[in-house]
Amino acid sequence: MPLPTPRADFDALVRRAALPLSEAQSADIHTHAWPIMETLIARVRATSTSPTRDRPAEPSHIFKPEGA
Amino acid sequence: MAPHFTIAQASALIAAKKLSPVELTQICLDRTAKLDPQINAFILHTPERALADARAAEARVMAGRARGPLDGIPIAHKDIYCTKGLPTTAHSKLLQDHIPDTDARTVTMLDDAGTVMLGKLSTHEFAMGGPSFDLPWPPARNPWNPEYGPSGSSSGTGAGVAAGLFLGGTGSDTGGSIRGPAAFCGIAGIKPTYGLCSRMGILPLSFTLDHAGPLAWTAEDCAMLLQAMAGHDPADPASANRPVPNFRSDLHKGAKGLRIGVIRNFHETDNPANPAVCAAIDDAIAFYKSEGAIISDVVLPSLEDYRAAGFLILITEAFAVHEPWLRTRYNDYGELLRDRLALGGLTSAADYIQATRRRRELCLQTAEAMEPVDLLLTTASPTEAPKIEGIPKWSSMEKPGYTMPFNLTGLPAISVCAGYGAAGLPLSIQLVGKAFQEQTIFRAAHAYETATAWRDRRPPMAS
Repeated sequence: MPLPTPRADFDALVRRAALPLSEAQSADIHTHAWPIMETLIARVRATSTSPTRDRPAEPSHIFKPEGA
Repeated sequence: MAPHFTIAQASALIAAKKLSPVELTQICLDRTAKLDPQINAFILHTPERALADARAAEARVMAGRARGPLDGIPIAHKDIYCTKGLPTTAHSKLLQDHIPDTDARTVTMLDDAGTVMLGKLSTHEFAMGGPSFDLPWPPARNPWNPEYGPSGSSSGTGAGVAAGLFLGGTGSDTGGSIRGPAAFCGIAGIKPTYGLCSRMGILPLSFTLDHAGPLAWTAEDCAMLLQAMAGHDPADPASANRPVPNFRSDLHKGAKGLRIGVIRNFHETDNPANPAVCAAIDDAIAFYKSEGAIISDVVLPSLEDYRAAGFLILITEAFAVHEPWLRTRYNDYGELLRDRLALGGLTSAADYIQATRRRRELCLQTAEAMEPVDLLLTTASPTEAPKIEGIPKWSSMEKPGYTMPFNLTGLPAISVCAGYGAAGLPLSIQLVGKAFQEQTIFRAAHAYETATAWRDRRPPMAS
């Protein structure tokens, strides 16, 4: 499990996103939702759950050079 | 109570001039007047428009100029489908006065097919945040018991079809928003292959996960609606440029010979389903075996893997859609949506990309697992519908759903009714096909529906 993000670091993320959260809204999200997000983020970062991924593995996005 | 019709039944009767589109529309209008105050399926009801559409359809039919099997069929649209000259609110205060000047491409296609438009339908706010009680309109409720939720986000479509307020309707599915309401409301709903239906004019939630599709009482009815909704649209960059097959071509071929893989890890270990749902899955397996289908077990990656990539992509793309309003009108959103959307603004770009790399791997792993089969079988929900009030705010994030894997992979998937569990609430199975193989899904779903008695029962309030 990832270490939980300290509240001060979480508040920095909120400031960077320029979200006008109240103290109660920030506390609710940090306490109840952000730990779940951290688990999800750790899962997509981990190569242990992604045995086929190597350094140049491509994302799912593609674009067509002849036109959007 | 007036009779209920499936689209297929009504279409045949209209073609034979034994049922008038005006008469059919009036049945729907009368039923809506009686039942909708209990279930809130509609945000905007347009009876005058509906009767005008119905009279025009009737004139075409009587003159021998019917537009096809949907001419004169009453439907309604989820309120994220733009409708020219009619409010399209996304069930949100932010768009309370929004009147588009064009129709969504699929709205135009269904109009061109002769459907009768009854109005605009409740949705979770912007197709994500619900059920909410702090929006300008109340949430839709489940017609099987209004104390329970109809799921979402295509909640009004699911509730309204089940109650017989209209014969079919439009939905959108970014993580299960068609198949969830189909499951909880005991109807059919298909999320088609990514790219099959245009998203043009449908308010976006997550660009790479959004799918448009229909909900109706039966799989056959979904096939009929999808026939009108599918097709290439140059205005949608994700639109697939390929011929549209006849979705009913295999409908009566039965299940014999179909190779069906059962995804046991989903309902046995990843997010265990309750005994009623497990029994419904087992009964469906037994049915397909008895019909001569070839059943095997298929192991897919954990639901947690699909959830992690899917939710991170969804929430980040959704934040990008809503970013300006979140910064300036945060508290004009309902609490459920705004606080979920905020999470997308706190995610790093690198983590979004890692999620899309994981998505590619999951697509490849899923395709490999599906190689030896024609269809996958699971459920759309591990339980019956929960009560609509008192749902903990963050509970939807706590367990992985059964529907997101097929948004992430873009594969077509249908939810159909698989019986009734606790308190008479519907159960579901979900059938998943290979890309652009919707005919196979409809074939298997139709065989199941016509062999079981689940389509004979309507919600008590509508019986």
